[in-house]
Amino acid sequence: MLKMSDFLLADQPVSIRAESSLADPDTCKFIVSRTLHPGGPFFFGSKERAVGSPLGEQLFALPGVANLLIADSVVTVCKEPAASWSGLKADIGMAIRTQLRSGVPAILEMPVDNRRQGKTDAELTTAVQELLDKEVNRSIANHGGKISIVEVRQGKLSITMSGGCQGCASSQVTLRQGFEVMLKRVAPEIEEIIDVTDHAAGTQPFYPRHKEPL
Amino acid sequence: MFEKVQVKILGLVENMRTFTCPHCGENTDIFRRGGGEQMSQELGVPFLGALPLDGDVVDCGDEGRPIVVDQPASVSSKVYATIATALVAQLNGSVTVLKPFTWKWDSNEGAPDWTEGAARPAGSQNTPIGLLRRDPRTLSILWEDGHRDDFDVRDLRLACQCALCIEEMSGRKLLDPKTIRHDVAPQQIVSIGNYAVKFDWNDGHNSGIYSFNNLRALGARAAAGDVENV
Repeated sequence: MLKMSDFLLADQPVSIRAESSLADPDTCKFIVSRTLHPGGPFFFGSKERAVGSPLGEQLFALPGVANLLIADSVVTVCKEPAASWSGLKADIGMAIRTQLRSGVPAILEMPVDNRRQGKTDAELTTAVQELLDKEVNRSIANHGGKISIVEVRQGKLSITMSGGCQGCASSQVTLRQGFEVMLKRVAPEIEEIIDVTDHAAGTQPFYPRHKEPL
Repeated sequence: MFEKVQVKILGLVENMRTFTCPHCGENTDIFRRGGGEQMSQELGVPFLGALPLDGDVVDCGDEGRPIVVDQPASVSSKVYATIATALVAQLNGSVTVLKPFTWKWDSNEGAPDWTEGAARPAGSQNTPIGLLRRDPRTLSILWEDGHRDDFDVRDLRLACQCALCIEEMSGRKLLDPKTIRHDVAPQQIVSIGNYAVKFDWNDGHNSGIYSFNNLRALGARAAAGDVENV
């Protein structure tokens, strides 16, 4: 929501504080005395993703800007490792001021769900499959297990666990602390992982079935 | 131990100080005298009182009749009353402590208090009296001494001290900033006792405990960092 104070402040000078990250020298947070765009955070991982955001396009036009995040009155900019902050911070400040003066919203087209960043279910399936092939299944194979995709639908990923994983009491640890963490890194758009494996099936699952009352 | 987890020590009570002979009435300090006072001075906490070594306390306790009810005029009962009075005085003057919280970052639901009125220059440097979501990327902490620290949320993620992020023995950093997504943010922040908070991050990480001691030190490093107006 734009506040009334944002309009009243329109003629006052904009102050912008640039705070360098403590642990990541390529990242700097710019705190603006004015709301740039309510809500968010809106993350733009590349120049192409910033199409539809006038502020994003302005900032990506600066040499060395690698990705950026716009949230309320804050812009976090990550630069290319090879680029220098010298001069760049002032240019970023200038671009933000120009954007505010123009009166054009910082972000025009609102993605329906920002977290999914417009990736289709098919694209997500490809990304997840790649993660499974390159990293996950290689390490799970040491224990004779395997994870397969059943489907990706509206950001929800359904999988089955087979081989040594099926029925294994530790499979949920593998899934939640191993696979899920890795998945969030490559495909943060996935909101939920659903394990559709029937862990009680088969002749010798690790989960015992009590057919008769004990 | 209480100092480590920042539980305030209200005072010290010495047990089994003086034995009064039921036959001749002579007092004997079986475990010598003055240890309680000395310890309270060393720790810098108030000395609330010293209980005698009294067989009646044992009998009354074992039979389920508190001595303060059964023999209110006894020496032991009077000592208990003195200790209780001193304890109440300590509690009345004690500091504000934030209530336990489970704080949803995006919605700000369950946000802890921000009690600027409780700040005093002589206050503790590692006791927070307020936490605030200043903007979607900044967590502010107000300390009892009136100092305020502003933390970038990704910097907090990168400062995680858990065994997955810091090698336990050597203290070597295992976490590479490049592997942490740029829009990492807390999903929720939960208080742990009086001494720490825990973050559930949106990259699935949640094993780090951030003690207020460490956060205050991190804040000092952040304040010394590169900040400029552009």
